[in-house]
Amino acid sequence: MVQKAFGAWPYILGTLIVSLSALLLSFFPALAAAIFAAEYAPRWLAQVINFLLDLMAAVPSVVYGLWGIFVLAPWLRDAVQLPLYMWAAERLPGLLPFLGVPTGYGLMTAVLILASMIVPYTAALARDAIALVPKEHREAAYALGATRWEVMRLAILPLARGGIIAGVFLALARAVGETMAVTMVIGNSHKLPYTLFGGAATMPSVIANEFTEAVEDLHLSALIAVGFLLFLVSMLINFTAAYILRRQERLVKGVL
Amino acid sequence: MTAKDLALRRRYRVERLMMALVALGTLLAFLILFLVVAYALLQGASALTWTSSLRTCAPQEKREGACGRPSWAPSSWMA
Repeated sequence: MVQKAFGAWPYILGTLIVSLSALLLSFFPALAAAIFAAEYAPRWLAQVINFLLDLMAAVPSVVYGLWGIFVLAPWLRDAVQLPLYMWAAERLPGLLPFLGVPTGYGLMTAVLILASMIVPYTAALARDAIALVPKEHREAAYALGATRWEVMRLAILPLARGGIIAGVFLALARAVGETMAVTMVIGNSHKLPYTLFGGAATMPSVIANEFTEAVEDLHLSALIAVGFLLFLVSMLINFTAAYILRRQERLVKGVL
Repeated sequence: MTAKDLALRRRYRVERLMMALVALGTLLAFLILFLVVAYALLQGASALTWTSSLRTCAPQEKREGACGRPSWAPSSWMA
């Protein structure tokens, strides 16, 4: 029921929690895929991985959302959330308010879906950044007797850091703006998202859910204001990325 | 075994560990993609099989609405 009292805090917080958690979860697998494709894999396997990365970016978000609703959410509820909830109920009852009701549709599912959706963005840019590191750096490190991991850690990653960070921010911007898949699995609750399993809402999801019901001017204005806030958050992310990249470029120029 | 040998052994142990971690991370990165594609293929194949089974039904069956009807569906399904 519309009570003409609007506030965007639960959605801002929901967006930040979901996006940052997804980013955190996806960063290491994405970096691993990039490193594996660029350095460890034989050429044919690297080509397969590159193809899969492009394919992953091309899968529409509604397909991820549908899979999330019918496969991931029920599986998470039965295999992860319910056992954890029962364990907490027996051993650590103080944890229950932070776990929330294990329905399968909530913050945790949205984070997992979003994490898998943003992997290709981080991975593709990291892969390109690693490939752009001059060959001489690698060869010099190998000539000094470094192992493959040492070459990666000491000669490649420091120079590719700028590109990797750019990929991370691109993925974060994508995560912040992701609508369909998140709306389908997040549970769409208008409360502050303080439980792991419970429902939440993000700024894009609340806009997508409520625009058809926004018949009153105030309701419509509130939704547009949420859209504007989303735009501000995205802009802030882009400015931060640009600043970090500029600083990184100066550092790399100093090394070269 | 000298300290140099031990250091070399440790370096190569780290190398193997990192290679395993990187390969594991790569698999993890693609896990959900594989699952989504496998699910879409299975569901799509099941829908296509059911749809194509309708084409092989006799006209009488089609009229009665019994053709290709899943066991859980009501008799009015195809009407």
